[in-house]
Amino acid sequence: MCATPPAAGRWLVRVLAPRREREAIEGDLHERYARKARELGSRRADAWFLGQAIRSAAPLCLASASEVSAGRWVVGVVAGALITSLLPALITSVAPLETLGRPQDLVLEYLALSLPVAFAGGFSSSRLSRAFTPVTVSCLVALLYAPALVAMIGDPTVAGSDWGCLGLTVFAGCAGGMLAARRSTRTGEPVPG
Amino acid sequence: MSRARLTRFEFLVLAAILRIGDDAYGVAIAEEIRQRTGRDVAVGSLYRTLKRLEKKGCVSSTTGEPTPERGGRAKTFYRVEAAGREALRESVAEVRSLVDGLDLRWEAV
Repeated sequence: MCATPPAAGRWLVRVLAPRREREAIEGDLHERYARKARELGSRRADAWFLGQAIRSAAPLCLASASEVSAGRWVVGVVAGALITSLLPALITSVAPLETLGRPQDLVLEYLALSLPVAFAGGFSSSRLSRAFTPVTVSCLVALLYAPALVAMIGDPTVAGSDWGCLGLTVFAGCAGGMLAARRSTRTGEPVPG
Repeated sequence: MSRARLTRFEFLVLAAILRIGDDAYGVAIAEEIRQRTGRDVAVGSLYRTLKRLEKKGCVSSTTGEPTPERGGRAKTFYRVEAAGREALRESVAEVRSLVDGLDLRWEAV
């Protein structure tokens, strides 16, 4: 019988591992997993594999980030910033400016929301695979906009222009993701899966 | 040449590679550390440390042939270089100079 490591763990390691060490890391985990599966059974081996993947996430992330050149970081952060550039428009369309308080609160809110996206955009577009980049960007955009979307659906006063603004934002997110994906493709990075 | 200073984990990894010899790759290094120290090493921490040691010039790596037990993936073998041996020697000397003459029996009390 040939046991297979859990897909979630494999995916996490594949996505986060530095390109140069990826094959060795995946091979080591596969070899140790097969040994654990023989000795302890596949369920405990699965748990061990997932534990390894989770414990390895932070060090692998740091190792990957350290091999990215400054230029690619800049490209990624700019892409992330562009994706979130429509955030103030959406915030003001959901909650009118006068209800948000001082303008600087709006700026702070924008920065708090956009900086993690810019960082994630920088990380993903600078080193991750083309399959992962649009997924990261789309998930982050969806996560950030979910509360606003719920508020809009439940609000009968939302105008057509607000929905247009939301559509435009989603389009910008997707376009940013695809541009980043094209860039990753040009670098010849392999696609997982 | 400026000498490389080692963290505790780098020290363990270098010593494990030296003990294993020519067949030092990820699984063997992790197993050696587990057997001798009881630490279950996360593969991510191990490779991050190996990468750092390689950058410092303490170890060098070569890629082996893909094997079926690794799902067709190749091993990466590591070797301790002269700078690594020197860093290890200095770390051991530092520890020795600190503990020599100390009465450590109080730990058992």
